[in-house]
Amino acid sequence: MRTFSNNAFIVSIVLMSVLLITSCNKDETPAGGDPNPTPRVDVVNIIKDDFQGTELIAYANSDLNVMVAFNATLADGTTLTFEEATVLTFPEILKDTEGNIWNVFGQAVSGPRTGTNLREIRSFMGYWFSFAAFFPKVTLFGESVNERLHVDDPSNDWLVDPDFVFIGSFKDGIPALNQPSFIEYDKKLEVDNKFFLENSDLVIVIQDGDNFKVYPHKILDWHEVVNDVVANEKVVISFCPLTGTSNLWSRVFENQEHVFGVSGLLFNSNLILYDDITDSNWSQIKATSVNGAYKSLESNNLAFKEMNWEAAKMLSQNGSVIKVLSEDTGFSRDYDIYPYGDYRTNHNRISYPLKFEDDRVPSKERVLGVLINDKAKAFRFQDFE
Amino acid sequence: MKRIYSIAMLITLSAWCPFSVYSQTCCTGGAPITGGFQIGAEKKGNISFGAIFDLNRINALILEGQTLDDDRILRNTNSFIFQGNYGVSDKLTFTMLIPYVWLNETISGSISETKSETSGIGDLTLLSQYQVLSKSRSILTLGLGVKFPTGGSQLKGQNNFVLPITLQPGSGSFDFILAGQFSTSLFESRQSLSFYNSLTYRLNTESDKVTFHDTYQFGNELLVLSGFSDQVLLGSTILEPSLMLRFRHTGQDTADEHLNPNTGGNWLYLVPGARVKLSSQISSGITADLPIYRNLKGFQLTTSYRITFSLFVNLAKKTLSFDIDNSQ
Repeated sequence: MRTFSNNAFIVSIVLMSVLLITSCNKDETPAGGDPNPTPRVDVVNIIKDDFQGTELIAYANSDLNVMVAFNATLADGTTLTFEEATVLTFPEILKDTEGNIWNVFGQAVSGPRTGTNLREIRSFMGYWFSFAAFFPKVTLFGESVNERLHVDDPSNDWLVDPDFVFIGSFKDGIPALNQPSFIEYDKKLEVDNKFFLENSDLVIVIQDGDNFKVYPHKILDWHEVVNDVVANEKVVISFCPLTGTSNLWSRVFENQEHVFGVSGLLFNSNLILYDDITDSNWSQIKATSVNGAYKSLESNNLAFKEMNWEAAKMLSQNGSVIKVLSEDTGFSRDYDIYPYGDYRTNHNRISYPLKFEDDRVPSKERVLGVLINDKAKAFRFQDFE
Repeated sequence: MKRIYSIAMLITLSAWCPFSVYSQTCCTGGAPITGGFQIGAEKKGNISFGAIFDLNRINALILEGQTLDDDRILRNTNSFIFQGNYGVSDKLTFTMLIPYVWLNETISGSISETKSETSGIGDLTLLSQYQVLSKSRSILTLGLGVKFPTGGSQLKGQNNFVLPITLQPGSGSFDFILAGQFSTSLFESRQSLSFYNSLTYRLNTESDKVTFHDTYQFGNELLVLSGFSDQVLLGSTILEPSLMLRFRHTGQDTADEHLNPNTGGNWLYLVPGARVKLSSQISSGITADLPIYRNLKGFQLTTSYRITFSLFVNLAKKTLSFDIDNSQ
């Protein structure tokens, strides 16, 4: 018995020691990308379309992961005709028959209308399933327009069906960034391999006067909401990692400045924000307060674009500065780590129940949704080929 | 003796094997039954019962093995567990565990502090334990049990939305428990110094009653407690100090047939403790679980420390599980 006890003890100690010295190895993803990209000259692919009585022009470049849409009719009532298969250099994306060239923000950068802006249409990219869930029977480009189904099923308290509101985390469990800091992009950083973005990383880009502010998805995956000031306007940038959708709206309304946070609630798997003054809940995709004192109040949406970092870098022209949201957020995170496993690529994995599902397109395919009169039309990259 | 030796070694060795199994993490709901109950056999006809009060402070945010400098989220999982034992024979004992669980989570946001809480009966467990060996200086007990889904697993919060899994008192599933305990005194000259090993393995099944999920399966859990205890006399009171290591392994949960990336991992705790024999029939104890190593998958909030108080009453003259000296 003594022999047994001593042996068992020794074996346990040895094995315990092996366990203790086991360490965790962390994969380190090198930063970088091509620091000196050659100017990208593309044959642009556009779609001219009519949706809800609006003539629109859409552009896509799958290599740069960008799709945008504008109203083809200018504020002065002129409807422009755009040339197909034009060769342009990003961020120039459109050329019309008047000889104007328009950039990805819808600004005429050359031609007789230089300085003029195309009118924005509310449009944004996101996972297909999110458009299908919010806008059942959403029209796909190339298909006939479907009748819109009854959607909301509101309750007394909620503008949306509360049976599809779920607690993802508790309020502020995902911390918003209220004092964001930025770093000025400098090619030298990439030469020295000290920049944290890869060319393929998706980013939100907002015009800040003549400059640009860039908000990487890899940081927004962890924070979802940024309260910021852009072009002297107090705004909130939001990104929902579960629906892959973004939005930008003014924080000043009802004669008050608001600060937004992450409520932790999700409707149709999509982010619900809250405001600090009334604690009302706001649906990101609906861009409307869906619960609380502000219920039914719509947000004042502002223009933003999404693209990959390779495309965003190309905006640095004519002395314009690109300010990138810094990883120095004040929160202890490793932004190289994506916190949702295979969620982005697993079409079968939807985290929360959806009010409507639609399998016409793989659920996680990123599409451009164009919203007019509360109806949606979706464009796929393949539509532009 | 060889057979007994083999079984004992199996328990000891299996504690350190790199199991690739699924398990329930401490971030998920449910009382920490497998971490709290006492394994041991009663004499025939004997009854013992006890109360275990377990305070689990969950405040450490881990990202793929690294502890983040972020203490904004505090979750407390507090459990009161009633344990009753009945000796069917000198070797066979039936045990019942009834937990009541208080769960709360506080988040210190930049604008305000938010607190959410719930409470309720947890999952009831029935366990049979069989004493395989009871020699002069060694005891080996094996157990087999079932955990029943008596605890709430779809409870709603103040806003009438289903609370997340982390604040549900039950797991919603029938789970199976394998347990074993082996203890032996090391030295002829000091027989009160004991080498103690226990192993608990919980095999979890799939449930369709976990929050809003169509199906959810908590991963399986392996717990191993190994270390030393001794007995010293303080006046007329017997004090039993102990120092042990607790190893915990859990695999990943499966939600709607997809692995939850932020569950599962390995933990190692230092577990100092002390037990006092207040009388020949009453004993009281305290242990603390202090993390010394953890390697967790994904992004998880996990235990900062845990304290367990227990009070046991034996309605018999002596038992084998708590009084090694008397068994010799």
